[in-house]
Amino acid sequence: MSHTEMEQAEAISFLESLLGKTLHITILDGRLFTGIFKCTDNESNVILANSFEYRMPSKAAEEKAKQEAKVTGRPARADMTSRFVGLIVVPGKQIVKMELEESRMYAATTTASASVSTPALTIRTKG
Amino acid sequence: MITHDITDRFRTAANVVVPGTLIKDTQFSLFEAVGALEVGDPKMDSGCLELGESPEEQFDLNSPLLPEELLWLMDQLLNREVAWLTGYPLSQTLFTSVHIDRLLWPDPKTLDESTFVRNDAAQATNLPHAILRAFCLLLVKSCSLVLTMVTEQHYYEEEDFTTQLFNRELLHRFSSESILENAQYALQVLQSANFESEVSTALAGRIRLRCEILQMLVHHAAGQSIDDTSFQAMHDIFDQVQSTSSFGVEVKDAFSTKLQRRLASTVPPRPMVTVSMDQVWTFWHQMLYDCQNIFSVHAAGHSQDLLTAYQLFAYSCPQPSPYPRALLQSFLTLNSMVASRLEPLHFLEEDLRSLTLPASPLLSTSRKDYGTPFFGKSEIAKNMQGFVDKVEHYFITVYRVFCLNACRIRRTFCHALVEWDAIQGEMEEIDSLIQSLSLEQPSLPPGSSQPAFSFSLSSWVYHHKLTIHRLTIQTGIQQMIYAPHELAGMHYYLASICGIHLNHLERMCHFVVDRDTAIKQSDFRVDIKAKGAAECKMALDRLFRQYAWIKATNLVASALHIIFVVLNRWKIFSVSKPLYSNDALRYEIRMKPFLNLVIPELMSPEEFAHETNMQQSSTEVLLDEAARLSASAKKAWEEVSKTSWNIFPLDEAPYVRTGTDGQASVLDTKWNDDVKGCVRASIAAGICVVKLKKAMHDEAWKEKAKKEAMLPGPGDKGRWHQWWLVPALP
Repeated sequence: MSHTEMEQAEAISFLESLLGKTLHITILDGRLFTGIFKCTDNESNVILANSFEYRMPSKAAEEKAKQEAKVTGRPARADMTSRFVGLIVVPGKQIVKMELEESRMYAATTTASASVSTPALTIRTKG
Repeated sequence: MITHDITDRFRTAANVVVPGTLIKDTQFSLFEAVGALEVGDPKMDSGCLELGESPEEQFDLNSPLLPEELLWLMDQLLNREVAWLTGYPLSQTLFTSVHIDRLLWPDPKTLDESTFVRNDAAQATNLPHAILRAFCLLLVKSCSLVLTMVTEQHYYEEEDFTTQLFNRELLHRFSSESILENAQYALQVLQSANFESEVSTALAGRIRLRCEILQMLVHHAAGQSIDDTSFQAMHDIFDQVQSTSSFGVEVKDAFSTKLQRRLASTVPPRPMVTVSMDQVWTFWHQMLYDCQNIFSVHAAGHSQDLLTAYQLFAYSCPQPSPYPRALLQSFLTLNSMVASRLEPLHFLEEDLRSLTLPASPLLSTSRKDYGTPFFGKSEIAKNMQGFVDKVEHYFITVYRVFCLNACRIRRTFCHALVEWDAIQGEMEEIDSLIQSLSLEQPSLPPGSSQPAFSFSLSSWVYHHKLTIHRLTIQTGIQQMIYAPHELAGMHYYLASICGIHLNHLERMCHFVVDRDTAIKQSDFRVDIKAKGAAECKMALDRLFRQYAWIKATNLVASALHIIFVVLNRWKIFSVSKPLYSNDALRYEIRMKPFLNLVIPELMSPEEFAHETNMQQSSTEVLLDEAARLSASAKKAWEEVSKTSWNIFPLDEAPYVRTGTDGQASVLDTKWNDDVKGCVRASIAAGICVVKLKKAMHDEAWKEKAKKEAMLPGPGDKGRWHQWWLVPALP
């Protein structure tokens, strides 16, 4: 087996190991998609099943949270808006960042905020 | 939740995948992949935004509204409602309103909960909001009733109506009364408000209008029309609403396509649909007229007259919108009665009695009068029941067809034709059985050298089948689906079907006369004899009227046939020569609806071409013939125009509406317009013939005609009747 062949086999086995796992993909416009990895190709086009779309909170909501944090002095949350979008294909060109989610079961027992499934932007007052 | 960044590793790994191959889950098929939505593609990705665009609508429901803004909002809602009533989905019309959205979502459990801003005490005292809310509630409830009416009838999704509600309930759990009550409260609030009097009146008018509309729909749901006073009042309020529409002041962002993201997450927002304000008023007036006029069909006291009435509505121009058509359709099954008059069985027997079975023991409704104690009585009854079971549904469907949208009318006729053809075959068997069981004696029909049996049931089927056959061709001409050079052939075919129908009517007449004689010579009681004679007379009346109509149709069709043959001979209409087809194939496609009919059997393409083109006759001879035909056609239609739309006495229902100065009913007017249109078309055909005769040897005219000759479209000047396509020649 040549060097490149070995490299190729390794790459493919890495990609195959990801199948069925949950990926978080951030795209150019800032949205984040989470879903089960189903398929990819040479151009990193990715198909995710049972996906959710998360969007950073709107300017207004962020502003509101900032105000709240200022008034109360405690961190305030502005929830990201989420929608179920189902089966999607994310073109490789759109992808900014890809993350692998560790088993949700495991995550649920270790993180305090596990009960809140919606990712949130936490705003802290400076100083 | 713990995540690891794998961006670079993934990209590097993907890079070495051989182009064209996929790394995929074994359970995952490419077939499934096709259904995946592409992120970033504005056509598929509903979350895709323009640069700097916000995903949520920007409208603040707490901001105060000016009275003029209220007025604008109401008119906009009326506008979008029109778009919905003409077939666009709620998501692109009414559900683009932020106000409607908030009223309906989350689903309100009580009517009080249905507000623009939930759980806000200040809302209750906000006057403009209370007024707008009353308007919106009335609107949504009306939509709910419209939707129920349409979906309970036969309709075509997205062609006639889009019924997707996106899980919104349209307030169907709240009664119309409670919503009307709320509107009364809003009207009081409005009076106490300090609005400028003109605007205040305009707003009150809009709320009253909505109340009237809702009440009308409630009446319709119960199969009743509203009285003339409320009907007139509604038109008056509409005029007032129209004249005050200009007071409105636009409210920015009150309508947004962004709301669609919450209705369905997998479909990107589609554009809003609005119509021009002029269209709004025209549409509403037309719809109100249609709804009210449609009740006039209840005047029909007989199945044939009901058919004429339905036909007159189906071919009115413009065709009624989906809601009035659904209303018309609902009369067929309202309280299990046809047109509130008869049970379907009696309705069918009424039709049979007045065509082929006058004073007949075969019908359940006259069996006790004319029952003859012949052998196999129960056997006959059983066969007769078989006939009724089979035909009842198809018979009512013919009426239903006239309530479909214009395109579907023809397509459904094409299917019906095949069904009726099959029924005819089956009925012939039942006829033969009954004929042998009842020991029927054959008699000699006109123009025949051999005695024949009446075949009453299949004869009845054949009559209706030929009517459908003729209407299929005529609707084709009406919708201009035939190319100009095909019109000669299609008019020939129309004339030939009419000819067959005329012969059949003569045959039916013959057997009715036979029955009449038999009744007169029988030893039935005097009153039964008189009743029998009256039934035979009814049948003859009907057959004569049908004969006159079809004869007139036959004459115009024959005249137009020749006109188009001459135009073809002179090559007035250009014919494109397609590369991959021939005459036989084109004939097959064109005649597809008629191809499999057992009777009348479709002629061969050669025979059809021969009969159509009439090569053996010179143009001079043909034009002389056409002149005679169009003159007779005019006379024949004038004869028809002397009759009324109804053959049988009208039902004395309270529905017959007469105009203010005691004019004829709506149907009389429609009938007169219809027949007059046919007279005009015959005259126009005559003029055409004169022009052609003059141009016989005028080559310059022919050249000119090649450029200028045209077929007037629907509504064009020169289109005297929808069914008659008389060419406009220079």
